[in-house]
Amino acid sequence: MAAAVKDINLDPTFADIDRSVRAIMEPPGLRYWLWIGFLLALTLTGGALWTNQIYNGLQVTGLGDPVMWAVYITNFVFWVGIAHSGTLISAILYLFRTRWRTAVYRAAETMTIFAVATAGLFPVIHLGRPWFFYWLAPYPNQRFLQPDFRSPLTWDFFAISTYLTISSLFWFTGLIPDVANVREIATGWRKKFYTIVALGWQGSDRQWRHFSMAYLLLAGLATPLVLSVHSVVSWDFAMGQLPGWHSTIFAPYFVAGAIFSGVAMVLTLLIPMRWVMGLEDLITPWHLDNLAKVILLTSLVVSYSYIVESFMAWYSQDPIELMTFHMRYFGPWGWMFWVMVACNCVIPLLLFSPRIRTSTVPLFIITIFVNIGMWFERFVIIAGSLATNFEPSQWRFWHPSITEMGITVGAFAWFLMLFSLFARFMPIISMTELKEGITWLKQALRQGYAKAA
Amino acid sequence: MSAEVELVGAFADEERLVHCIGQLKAAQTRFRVFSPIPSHHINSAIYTRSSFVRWFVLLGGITGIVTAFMLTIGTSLEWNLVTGGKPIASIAPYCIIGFELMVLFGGISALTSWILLANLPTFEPLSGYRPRFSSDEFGLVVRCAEADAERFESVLRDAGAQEISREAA
Amino acid sequence: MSEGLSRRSFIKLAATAGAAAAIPGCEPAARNLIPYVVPDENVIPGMPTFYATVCTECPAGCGLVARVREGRVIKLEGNPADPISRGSTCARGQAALQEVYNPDRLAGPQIRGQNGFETASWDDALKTFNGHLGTASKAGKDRVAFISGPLGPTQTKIAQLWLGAYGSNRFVTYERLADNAARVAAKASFGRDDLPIYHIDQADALISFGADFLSTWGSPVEFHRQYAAFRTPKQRHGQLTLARATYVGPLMTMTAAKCDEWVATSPGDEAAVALSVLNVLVKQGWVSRNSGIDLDALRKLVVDFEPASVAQKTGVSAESIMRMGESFGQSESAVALAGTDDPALHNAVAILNAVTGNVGKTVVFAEGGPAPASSPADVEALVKAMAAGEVDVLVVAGGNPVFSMPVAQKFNDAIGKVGFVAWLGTVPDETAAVAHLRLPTDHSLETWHDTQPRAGVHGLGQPVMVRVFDSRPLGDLLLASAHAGGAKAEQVPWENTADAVNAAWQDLGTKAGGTFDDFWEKVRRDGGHFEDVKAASVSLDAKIFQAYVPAPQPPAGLAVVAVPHIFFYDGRGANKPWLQEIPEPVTQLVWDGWVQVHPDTARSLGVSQNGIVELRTDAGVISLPALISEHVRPGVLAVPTGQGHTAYGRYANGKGANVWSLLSGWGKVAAVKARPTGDVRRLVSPLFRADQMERGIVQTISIDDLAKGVLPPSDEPVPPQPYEMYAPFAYPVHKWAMTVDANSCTGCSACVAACYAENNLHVVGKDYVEIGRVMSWIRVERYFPPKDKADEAPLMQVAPMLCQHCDRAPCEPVCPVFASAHTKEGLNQQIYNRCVGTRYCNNNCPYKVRRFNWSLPEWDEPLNLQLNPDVSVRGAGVMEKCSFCIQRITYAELNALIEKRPVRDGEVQPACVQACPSKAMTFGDEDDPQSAMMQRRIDNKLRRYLVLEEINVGPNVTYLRDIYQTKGKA
Repeated sequence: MAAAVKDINLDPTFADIDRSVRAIMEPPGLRYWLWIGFLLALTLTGGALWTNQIYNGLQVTGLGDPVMWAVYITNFVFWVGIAHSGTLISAILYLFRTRWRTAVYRAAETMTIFAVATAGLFPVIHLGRPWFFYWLAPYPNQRFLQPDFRSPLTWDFFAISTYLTISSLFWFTGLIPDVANVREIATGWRKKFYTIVALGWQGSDRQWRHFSMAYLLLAGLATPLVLSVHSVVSWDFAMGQLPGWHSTIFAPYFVAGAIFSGVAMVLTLLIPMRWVMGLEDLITPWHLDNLAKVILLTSLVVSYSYIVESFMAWYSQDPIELMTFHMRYFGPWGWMFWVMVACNCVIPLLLFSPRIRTSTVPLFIITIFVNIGMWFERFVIIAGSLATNFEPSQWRFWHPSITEMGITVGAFAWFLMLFSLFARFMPIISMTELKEGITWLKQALRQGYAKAA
Repeated sequence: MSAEVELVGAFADEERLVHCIGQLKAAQTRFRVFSPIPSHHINSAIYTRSSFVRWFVLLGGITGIVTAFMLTIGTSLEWNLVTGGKPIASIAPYCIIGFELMVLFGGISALTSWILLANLPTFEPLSGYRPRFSSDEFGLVVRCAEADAERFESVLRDAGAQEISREAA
Repeated sequence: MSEGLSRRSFIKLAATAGAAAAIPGCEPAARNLIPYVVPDENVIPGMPTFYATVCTECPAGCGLVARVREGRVIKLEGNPADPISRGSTCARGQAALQEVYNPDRLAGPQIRGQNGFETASWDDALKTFNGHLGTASKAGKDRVAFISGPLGPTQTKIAQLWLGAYGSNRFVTYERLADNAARVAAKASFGRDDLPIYHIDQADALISFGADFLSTWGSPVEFHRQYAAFRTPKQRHGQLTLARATYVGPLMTMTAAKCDEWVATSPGDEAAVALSVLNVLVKQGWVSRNSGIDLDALRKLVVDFEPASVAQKTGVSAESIMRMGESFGQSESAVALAGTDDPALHNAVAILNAVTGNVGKTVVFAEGGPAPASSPADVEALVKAMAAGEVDVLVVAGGNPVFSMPVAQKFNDAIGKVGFVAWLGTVPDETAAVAHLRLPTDHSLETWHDTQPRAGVHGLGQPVMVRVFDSRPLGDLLLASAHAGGAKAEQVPWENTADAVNAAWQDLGTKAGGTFDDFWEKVRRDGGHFEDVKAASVSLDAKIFQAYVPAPQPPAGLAVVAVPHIFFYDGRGANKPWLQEIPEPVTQLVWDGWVQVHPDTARSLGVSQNGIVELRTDAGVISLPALISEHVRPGVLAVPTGQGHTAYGRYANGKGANVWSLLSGWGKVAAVKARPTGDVRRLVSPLFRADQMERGIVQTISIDDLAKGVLPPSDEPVPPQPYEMYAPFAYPVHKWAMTVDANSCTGCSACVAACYAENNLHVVGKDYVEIGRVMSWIRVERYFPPKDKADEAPLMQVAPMLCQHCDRAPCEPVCPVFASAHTKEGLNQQIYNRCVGTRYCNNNCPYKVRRFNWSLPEWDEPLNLQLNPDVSVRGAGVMEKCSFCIQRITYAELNALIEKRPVRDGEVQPACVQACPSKAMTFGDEDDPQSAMMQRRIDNKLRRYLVLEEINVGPNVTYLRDIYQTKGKA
């Protein structure tokens, strides 16, 4: 890591950091608003398609027996997966006192919030009667009839909403000192806005004292939560007894996949962002390198899971299980499986080369592949297994409809729009923690144990 | 009893500040620190006992678990509907709800408790606060009797405060 | 079972007597929910009333019980008192309701004007009608003609009297699928005018030469019941054996698929095979000595039909012929059936039955049979007369001759020559399209009528409800017209059909003895008058051996065969959405027509699956998508009848093609030239794979294993309840369950139709079936054994698949909102109001029996009047599935409660169980070991199995294995 330390820019004083971060938050130009407008248009298109679907019923989708879950649930799992890296970087790495997280964690965490916000839409979108979605929540009613807490979908509801709440609290807490910082230079409506959001934070010793403890504990709570949420999502399938779903490896397998796709998405967002916003001196190759290593590791874990899954099918010698996997590899949807293998198992191996890990363009391309691969992984597991179920007479393969594709695109646009807005109007990089990190490093170097970094 | 004054000293460097805090504590005077970064040096220099927040979080977590099991078991027994041949009150799946609610309640109580303990939200600035204390300088505000003002000014100056201003309390 | 049935039937029929009388004869059309302004005492809102009546969908004449709610018939069920239906129906019978409420029914009289048909008042319409008749009768004798389907005795009499009033006797009944050749043969070989009554259940061996007796030939519902008995293993010579059935014909029909062997012949070769079997019998000396026939003549007849030579000529293996001969000759009693239009075959079969002494045992002629229907000759005579311009007025009351008349008759030209054509019927068809006047008549459920399907069975059809449209009874129209034509009261004594029927039954009553009022009361309750017939003593006419006509050579090259469709029959069923949506049992195709081609033929023609094939005969040309399948003889192109309508309502028009237009003669075979057009139209089936991949969904056992008392090695039983985590729940009152015998199930899909009718299932159409949105709660699982296993399996494996109401139902705990939960009576219930539509339950259902409402269900008016008020209509976005007809369970339990007694066994019958003509399904209480359902399980221990038992969800539907004989064994 000594090499890494060299990459860290030690020169910036607190003032420099503030200057560069505050610079991002200057009122944006026309190009930015065009971009937002474009995303808004796509989002509204998706919204219109959804409205039509609510009005006409799910017949506007391509769904049918037996593939009753396809794109919508795939999107749901995909976005929940994306959401995982954020809390991983901000909470788990915080507990491990990993220094390189400081520059990137705010972006990752923001991504988490908006990814969950996107994921949360899909369970509602895919419902037959979305106007009754709140029946999944326990709420007081004269019948005193509450959801069935045995159902994985109810677990989902609790897990996702808890996850959204906790990560928002965590994110909000971390934001307060930075917002207070920005408050001091902002003018006009922004000043009012930041003043309210900062809650009157001034960084007195007493405030810091409770803040630090709360932040630590939130991180402590968020860590097991991250692991639980995607385990619960995986149980949506593992709890079913459908061949291809009913597997005990799903929880760790899905968590690894989630971190894999999540970190990839972080890079997909960070690389263009640091270029567009000129953050090269804050988000350095050192950060990219570390994130790439996480991708590489999780990619290996995911590949291992694929192998184990297939091995278990073979080892069980259960004809139905075997047939499901045979169809997964060589059936009408086999190509999706091989796309997934290429994107998730083969291409990430390039990250063994340090040069690729630190050069932005190849890294960016690889992360795109990972995102595609992980989307297909979810689709292959969910729809593929449904299509080849217990009853040979009831097999059938699904074809997408405009509505499904449009809503999917709309969801991506919605996510990017929220992220872009935040990046310009809130401190997308935690000044406080950067300063803290630099202070720590200066002392560390002086006392000659920089290797700790 | 003579009138009190506040001395506001601005520091660029955390370590000097911490050193200075030591002296002030020895002098047993009242003071407040503003810092742009969370610093356990400062924290430990001032406080010996750690924040109460953790007890609130513990309490919240326990409440969460209890609520979860009361909710799940209670509602199941209310209707005793059989699904999948499983017992009316199936504890195993309810543990998941238990865990989630523990985290949820714990997290919420963490936020609320720290905000309240830190006297937030408030919109009257604490005396002696300067905007740059949120940005690139540490602030040390000493509250003392007018008579002792000179003495503490020198303490601050020796500690390496860049500029010192005096205000009536 | 039958115990329970008769009791249940009593409860139902008790209500009938007074009610029947209370049905008003002719009221103005009323479409309100309760059509009576002042409800009579029989209409208690919420309480069903039951009327006994007779089905007129096909000549079989099954007795029906109509369930009527608030004055609307909502369901048809078999009449348990009726000797033909015995409480069962077929899919066609169930769908009769969709003709009563058909949105395309003629709403009022119509007269052809300059631009198409114009609605007219009844007065004008009748004035025109009688006017033309008047002028025609003045013009001379026999200027008026009448064509109809089989009408039943009384209406026939009325029609003839009416013709008489207009000085004509051109009366013709036209039934395209009537078994004319059989009548000829009966006359030639036994000197009989009537057709024999068959007792398949009494036989130990059966050979069907192209007689599709389970779907369209003869009396399918009755034959289902008999065949189920026939296939029940019996002790013979101290050994458990299975009666052997063989089907000889070009196509593996549903009947063939349920036989032990399907002998694929070219159309027309059946006769040769039959004679060859006869040859075997004669040689082996299995001809019964006492049948008193001239053996030498017989020998001379069959001498040229050595199995070897026949095999060499027809391509049928000599072994098959030997096997047939052996099973037929060695059994105590056997029956041979002939279903083609080849008189040679019918003669051969008559001889076959006679010389083995089965005439009088399994083939019985009875005295007092119905009057014979018109022969093809009669029809041809009329058509000639029409063409010659000797007919001024033609009245068509059914039969749709324009659609199905042999092309050589040039019926369309002939009808063009007729000055005035009046069409009387319900749903306008191709014939109605060329008429000058169209008068809407009542459906048989709306009017009085009677039937005599065979000796000893007099069915009484009484109106079960007030008419839906502004129609009139056919009989009333004709009687009124007769009187208008100046018929004297002594010639035509009655005012309306009701009187006529009543009068006609007077003499039956006097024969029966007792006062007529009691008799009338009884027959209306029983739905007819049924008497035991004494078998006529008949003997084979020796002349038959000389008068034997050689079989016509099968067409060289390709032959097209018109196969009567189990649902559409000759075409009359095509405008009933249920019948279009329910898959044809063997091919499992919906909403279309097709031509079935053998892979080899397809290769030589260059035809591919779904590729459109153009069929050209001397009579016409049609194009249909190809269905490539092994189940048709190479060189034969099999086309189902009934599709290809051009003017028969929204559901029928433009589907498939009309195969009748390829046939110039009365037969169903023609030489054909076929070529692929290069276009493609996808044939759609709700089933994906025909191979069950050894997943044991429809399991089988060979009769040998059954006799030995061993299970097939392939299906070792899973140890009961292997991994129970929780103690099972107790079901204090009842635990409803079902037993399904795959050996009796033929795949006829009557259960499916019954479910559509009972549970308000809506049809979705071809496109939605293709993407898996069919709504049927019960489906027929149809699989074929893989080639390498074909010897150790039946030809086709079928069993109904419905919700298994599992004790540990996987669908229940995954529902987040308790929409799917278990009842205290062991039912897996779906609460529609609570369902939010996550569809997780269906994903987790191993049997895939749950159905999701992808769109808002809709019924074209007035089909919605048929909806069952006891079953809620589901909205879009909710899951639904089989409920074991919980509304019927509740109905029975409430009755029991009122009468302070426990629910009787057999009192609850889901619609599917009740409809099943072979009684393959039994429903009952698992807690009651005496229940017929449990008894059936106990009696068939070796054949019991659960579908997908290994996943241990505890299904409450127990199946019984299908029984097969190892191939190549007699």
